[in-house]
Amino acid sequence: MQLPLKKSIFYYWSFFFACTLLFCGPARAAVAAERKEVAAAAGTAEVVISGFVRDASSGESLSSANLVFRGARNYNIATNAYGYYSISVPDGNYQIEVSHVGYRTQETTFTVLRDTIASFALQSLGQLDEVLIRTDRTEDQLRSPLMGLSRVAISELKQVPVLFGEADLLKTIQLLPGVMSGGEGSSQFFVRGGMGDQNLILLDGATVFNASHLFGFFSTFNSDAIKDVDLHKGGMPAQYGGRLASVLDIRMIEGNNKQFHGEGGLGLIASRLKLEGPLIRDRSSFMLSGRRTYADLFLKLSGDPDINQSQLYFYDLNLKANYQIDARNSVFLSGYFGEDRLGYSDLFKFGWGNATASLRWNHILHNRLFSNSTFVYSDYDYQVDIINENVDFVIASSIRNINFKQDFHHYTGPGSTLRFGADLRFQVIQPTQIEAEENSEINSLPIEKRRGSELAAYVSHEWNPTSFFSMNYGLRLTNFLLFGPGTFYDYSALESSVAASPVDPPAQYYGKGALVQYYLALEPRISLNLRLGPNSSIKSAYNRNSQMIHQLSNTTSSLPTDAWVMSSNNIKPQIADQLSLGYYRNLGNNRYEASVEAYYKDMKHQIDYRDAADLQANTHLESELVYGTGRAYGLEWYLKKNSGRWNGWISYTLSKSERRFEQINQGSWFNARQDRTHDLSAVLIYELGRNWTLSGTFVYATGNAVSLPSGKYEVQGETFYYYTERNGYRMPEYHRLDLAATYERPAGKYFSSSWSIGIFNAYNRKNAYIIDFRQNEQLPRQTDIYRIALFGAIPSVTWNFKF
Amino acid sequence: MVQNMVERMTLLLRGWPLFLVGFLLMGCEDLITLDVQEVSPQFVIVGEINNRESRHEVTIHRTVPLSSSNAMAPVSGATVRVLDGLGRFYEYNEVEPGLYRSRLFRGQTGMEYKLEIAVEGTDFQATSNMPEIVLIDSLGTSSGNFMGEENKFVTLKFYDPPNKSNYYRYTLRVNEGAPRFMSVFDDKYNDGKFVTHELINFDMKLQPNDYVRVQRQHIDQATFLYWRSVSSSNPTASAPANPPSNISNGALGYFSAYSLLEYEMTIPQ
Repeated sequence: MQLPLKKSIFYYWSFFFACTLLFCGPARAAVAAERKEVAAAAGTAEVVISGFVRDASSGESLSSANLVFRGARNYNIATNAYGYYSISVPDGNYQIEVSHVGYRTQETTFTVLRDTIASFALQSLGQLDEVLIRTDRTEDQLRSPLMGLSRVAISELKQVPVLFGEADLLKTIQLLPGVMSGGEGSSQFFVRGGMGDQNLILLDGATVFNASHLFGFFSTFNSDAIKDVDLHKGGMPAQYGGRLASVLDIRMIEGNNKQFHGEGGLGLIASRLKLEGPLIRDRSSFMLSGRRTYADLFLKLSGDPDINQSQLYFYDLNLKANYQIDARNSVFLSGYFGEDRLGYSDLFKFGWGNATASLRWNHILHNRLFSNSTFVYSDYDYQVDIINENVDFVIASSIRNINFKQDFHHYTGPGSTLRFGADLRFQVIQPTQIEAEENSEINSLPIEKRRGSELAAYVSHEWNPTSFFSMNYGLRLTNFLLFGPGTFYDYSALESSVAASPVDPPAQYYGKGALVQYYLALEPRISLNLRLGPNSSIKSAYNRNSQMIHQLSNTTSSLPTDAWVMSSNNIKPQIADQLSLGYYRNLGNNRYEASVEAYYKDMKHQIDYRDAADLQANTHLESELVYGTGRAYGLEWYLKKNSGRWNGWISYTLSKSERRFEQINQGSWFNARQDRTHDLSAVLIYELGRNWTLSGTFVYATGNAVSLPSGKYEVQGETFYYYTERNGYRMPEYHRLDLAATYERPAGKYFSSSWSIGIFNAYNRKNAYIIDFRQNEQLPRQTDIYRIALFGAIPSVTWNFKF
Repeated sequence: MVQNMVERMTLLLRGWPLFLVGFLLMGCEDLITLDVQEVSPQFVIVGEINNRESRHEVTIHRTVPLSSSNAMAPVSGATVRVLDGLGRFYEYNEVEPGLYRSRLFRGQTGMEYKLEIAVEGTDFQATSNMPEIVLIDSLGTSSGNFMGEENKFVTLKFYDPPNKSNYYRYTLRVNEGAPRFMSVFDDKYNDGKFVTHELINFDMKLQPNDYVRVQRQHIDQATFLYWRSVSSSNPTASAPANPPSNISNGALGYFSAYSLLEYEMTIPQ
């Protein structure tokens, strides 16, 4: 099947519009019918109340704010990700209660006779008040049909002690149930037995391909610039897709549109500065936030020219600006740029980084119909420059993405919201290639670019027919196309479990824009919530997810050179089906929330590697892959205390994650590396008086499943170790306690500051990073086993300020 | 040279966290004990044929548990023979437990050899092609300062034959010591170029006036993959595995027919 480029683009757009129309038409009819019905039943007129909820002092929109309309009957609605709500109720008198975590609850009485726009501005609570009087937003978890969803409040994030004293989003979410750390000090994370590349990380809608700095010790997300974060690990609503395990949806701060403010910090490793303020008061604002490490400054102190010429740093920059054109339209521009630089002497220079930009237009088409259009550019690349007398060359790779997303929120009637939209994405991957000078000792090794596109369309309906039952069901359709130009090889005939460049595999050349491969995935999603009483509910969800793009890595640490590949004639899309069931209960007048969730996940077309696979600059990269299946299941317990001087949470996960590949482990099931039977995290925060906050984190986890030798032998005088079962051993158990204390200086009128001191790994536990087998130097026939730990106790101190 | 650069880079990248440990002096290592599974021993077969020597050897052993004070367990009583591309058989005799030596024959470049072993009711087979010799242009030394340590390396320069995959393996004997494996190279990045091979082994420090003998072996792809896997194994690999063997029936080890060049030199000041 070969389609010229123009034709295929046309095909796309028609598909896109057809889907939009298809969803729109019935939706409108349904609304009209429902409206009449409701009005007729009540003998009253139905009116629509809509508007925004914002922060009173900064003008930031507040997502997930809860609105309760108390009248003859009670109605509930939560604001969407952009702070907008719309609800239809019978006309009459209402007492309206607006609440949001960290804000003082607002109550107003209204008589609503016709369609009304009502926007609310909430006063934020002081630091201390916030913990003493938290709102009843925990009701959310009982009311919403969504499950497997965790929200992290930025105020919490900043109190959790972490490595090097840098508040870190990705390390904090690792403390949630079902989320596992990627390793010591790593910002990589694994959700419900999935791999690291099965998490979709979105920053203001843009995909972030490499979420870590300095090989994972820092995440790319500067917590100063983040407004809120949602982590979906199961029961994902249909507007999200593209990865198997989770969606981490991060939204940046918009910027204060009333007053100019700054915020920053000086730490041992990195410093930060954020500025925000109005461009046009109440209408437009900006936010600019930057961060840079300075570990390399210490290198400069070295007398060794190899060391002091070396580079080792990263920086990142977040910016955002918005403009409210009128009451119905606002536009937002946001961007992220980050880069790591690593250089050793004059031997090589290595740089990598992400850049994302998104332009968003929020438009209220109608008081029931909210539209969000986003245009996104996202890019990740790395480059290694090697400079030497007779060899000058560059190793480089990149992945570029342009996508356009259109989302509609249609508030069709009381307790009924329809969401539909489409997501059109063009993607170009330049696999790792080598460019060398003409007279260089090496040849250039060009590798063809790969071009593909993904078109997804979705529709979902959140429906609360009664106060004790709600559901969210939907369907997502993902269409993947791989285009020429390029030569595509077929490796289906390869049988060996050992990697070896295949000799003349069947090849076919495709011209520019010609269709090479086509995949279509239908992803049904449904979640149900049955309220058992005022304090508890039961939820259940099923969802299918597909993944068209895959990251290849055969090391334990996440490296910036780990390649992304698209699905192709050889690589099929990964598919996961997940079933989950949960019980939720609020205790002690909503001061505590508790939940237990069980899940089972079945994964198809998982990827692993042949023995001795060569994943770098390899034309036949796809010949190195083997395909299999996976399954993961577990139970997650969570208990959180939301208010009082003491607060925090405990999460415990009991789980299993396994894989099966015909070519590995004689085709029998083996534990995935990140399979940790027990995984426990506890976070405790204590407000000590007005100025001091103490916090502590404890983590305990079963060791990773690893492959270790079970025997030894000698070849030409060298000892070799004999490996048998894949991941048949366990690393020693992992546990660690981190502590932190923050002293808030009494605030001045224009300036306030605080000191945070912390200690990572407070009792200096030597957690094994690597188990190493070596022959004893004195007794060469004796095998010694060493445990290598990465970090002992690490103190940190940070000075933070605000003005 | 280039491959060394790539290797150095990969080394640095992979060893990055460990490098940081060294740099920040925060981590540490200690001796531990670990419960190791009892597994049934596996056959280890190593056979080489070259174009220099007139007798060739095959060793047959079994793996031993990690706790064993033996290096491995010799396997006696095997029937070992090699069949060449012209249908000639070469019988091997056991000269000491686990060591089998051939009758007189010299390997020929361009020839395919097939190893056949029958032992304890199991048959093993492997084939290997002996590649042609690629003469070198010059032999010398280079010095490199890596992680603050001055090291000297033996270097060889030569023209790699174009449009053809070539694989090289080097061993080095210092002052009449035992030959040690240094490195393997392919020509993935420098096919047909004037190539420099720099023999780097951080466990071996060459001193001025050391007398060294370099053995350059022209090996086939399977042997290359075996030794590349050996030299690139590192503790951060997510799934360390046995080097891929070209011998049937799950035996560990390899069978390699290679052509050989040998050079000697004294390390200059």
